[in-house]
Amino acid sequence: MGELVDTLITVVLVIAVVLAGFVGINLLVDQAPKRWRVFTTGMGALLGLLAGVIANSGGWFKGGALWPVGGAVVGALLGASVWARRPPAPDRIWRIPDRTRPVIFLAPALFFLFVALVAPTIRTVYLSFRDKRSENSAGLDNYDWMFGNRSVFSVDGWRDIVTSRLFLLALVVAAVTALVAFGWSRARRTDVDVTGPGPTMGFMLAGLLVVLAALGALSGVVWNNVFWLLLVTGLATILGLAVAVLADRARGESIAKSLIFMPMAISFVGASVIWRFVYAFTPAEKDQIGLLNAGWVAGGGEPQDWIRQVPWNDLFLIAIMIWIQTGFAMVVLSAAIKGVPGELLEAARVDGASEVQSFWRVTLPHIRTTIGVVVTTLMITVLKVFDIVQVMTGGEHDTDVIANRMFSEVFVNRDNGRGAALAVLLFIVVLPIMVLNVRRLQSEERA
Amino acid sequence: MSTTTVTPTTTGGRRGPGVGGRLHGLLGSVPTAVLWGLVILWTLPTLGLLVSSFRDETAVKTSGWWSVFSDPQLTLESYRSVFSSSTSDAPNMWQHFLNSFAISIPATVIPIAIAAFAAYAFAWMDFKGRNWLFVATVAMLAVPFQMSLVPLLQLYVNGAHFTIFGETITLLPDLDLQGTITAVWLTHIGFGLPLAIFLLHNYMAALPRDVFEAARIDGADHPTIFWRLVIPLSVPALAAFAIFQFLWVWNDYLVARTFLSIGSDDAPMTVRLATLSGSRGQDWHLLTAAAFVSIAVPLAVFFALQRYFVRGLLAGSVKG
Repeated sequence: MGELVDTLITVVLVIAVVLAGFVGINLLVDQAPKRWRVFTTGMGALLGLLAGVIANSGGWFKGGALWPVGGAVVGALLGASVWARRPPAPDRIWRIPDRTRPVIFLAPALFFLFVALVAPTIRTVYLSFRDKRSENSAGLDNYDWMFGNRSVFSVDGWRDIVTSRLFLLALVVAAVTALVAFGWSRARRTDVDVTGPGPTMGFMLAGLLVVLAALGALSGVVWNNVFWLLLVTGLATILGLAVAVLADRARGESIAKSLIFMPMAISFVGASVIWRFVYAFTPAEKDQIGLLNAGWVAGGGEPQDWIRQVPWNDLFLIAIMIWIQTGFAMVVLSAAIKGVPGELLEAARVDGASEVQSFWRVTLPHIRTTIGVVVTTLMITVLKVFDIVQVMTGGEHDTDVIANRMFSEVFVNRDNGRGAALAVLLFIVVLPIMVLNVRRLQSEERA
Repeated sequence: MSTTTVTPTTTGGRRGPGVGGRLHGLLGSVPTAVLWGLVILWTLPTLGLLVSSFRDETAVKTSGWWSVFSDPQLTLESYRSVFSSSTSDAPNMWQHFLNSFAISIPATVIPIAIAAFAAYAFAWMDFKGRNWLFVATVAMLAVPFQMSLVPLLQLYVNGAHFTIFGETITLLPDLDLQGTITAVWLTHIGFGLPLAIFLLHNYMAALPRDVFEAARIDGADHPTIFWRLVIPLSVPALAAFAIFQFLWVWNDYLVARTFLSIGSDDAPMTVRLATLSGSRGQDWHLLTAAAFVSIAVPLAVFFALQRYFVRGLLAGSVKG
């Protein structure tokens, strides 16, 4: 309890200092057009204080508070005498408050952003070319390791994709879809349409099967991240869209949406514990305490230790993330669907479009940008996934992902270089998404 | 451009004109059935955890939680053990519960103040380089935190120094922050700022221009407009961000795990829960109760303030 009180006092103090500094420096700047000497004295003291603090940190000038305080006094005196003697032209003085105001408003935020994000990003890139303890240059060793280590990246087994049953199934699904679409168009005497709801779903199913085939055949940290990325982003978006559409026509919409959205409020760690309990495994002779195994056994199966079953265990971890993120996709897409103008849908209905057609031809194109936003947001979230893997398996049983491997390289193997290289890999993957976001922002600014 | 403030409404949406007919009625109830099927699927895992946390140790370990419906026996024993601090490795959740607050409150309140200044400057001040500076800030939304972990760790341990002409200048002193709660919330402030600035900027920029012009004509300068006009008008956006950031920090595991030593007395609940889950994977009764304690606060915040949370989410991801 005492600690919490201490922290709260600290918070109040920090806020007070920030606000006082902010108000104080604004007031000081206001003095420039009115009382020039007060302004120069204050500015002199401020600059002197800063110079004193920096000087004090050097080896020659160690002197405790002497240097900062002395600097402030000297600065104030200089400001009051030398700088105050020759003020600039009045019209320039008048512009001083407006010129400095943006700096004052932005300085605290830019300082934190620089210290917490900009400088570290640059430094991490630098560290990725250094050795374990960042002492000597390591050239490209860390990157060599990354793409040469089979547990991180390898393409061994890609042949198994093509020969797997899932892949064959995908081919069959794709072929059937194409044939049906073709036959449909012949029967109706229209052009072959592969962008309709039926064909699209067929091809998407085929794509999913290909991803699953790849998941069964390829292993390594990088591939795992790819599977997370594709499956979570794809399935959470589709499920979220489905729920948003269903809820729009169903009873109890708001309660249903709240409950599906709820996992968003639960921490990844909490969610992992919830699902570990669902996946819990006890030997066949005992009662199953995990929901999944209970259902499996009731259906006549042997109890399974789901999260240790390489390679399919990835799927059970991925399911947790889908469980969490579907709510996000649903809320954002639902708002977009409700934003589709009623007249458009009405017009489509008057033209004789069915519910499915008007959804496919009117609603979907209308919410295209929102879907893009959901997909990119999900991608950024999924790429960084760490907590779920850490809690469920600790990266064991072939479930490791980049973020978790980075963490274990740095904190378990004590290798800053390799950790930094993995972080840089993550960063490079995110870069295109970042550029996309910036582009979108700029086009909205212009609009 | 404006911030989206659409929230899920409670209306039934568009339903076809009542043509009648039993088949139509049957088809009409299909969406409801499918939706509620999904809802049950989505809720069952959490419900299982909640029910289990009220069952006693042997019951949790030997039978499924659903057997509670045929044999209802509930106890608070698990919660009592979870809060106990009798032995050194007792879960001691109460302490970690307070730690979570000690981390989340500063990490929520402080960035709001800092971001509000910056958001105002980006939205309503004219200066050179405003656009690219704002774009750069928003671009930082996507930077993985993993990029910052190692350098920040080094910063907290050693400070930041700069050597020139054989003289080492200390840019930031070694404040001995590693392993302290302060390191955790300082880090969260930095990581939370891009989103805070983005959200608040979107909201502030959408405020009507004439209000500002009227204030200008009355002779108000930027600080006055900021305090008297923009802050009071921006309360919904401030609240939305506060909830967002609070949930984010409360639920964070990576930052806390990085800057606090494992098993630290200062660890927030997520870290404690993860350690429990690792070391006592089989103590389901402790794990269920501890997990529920740690998700109770975010769930309460979520259900009480869902409207603001949704608003923040929408403003952060969709615009216009």
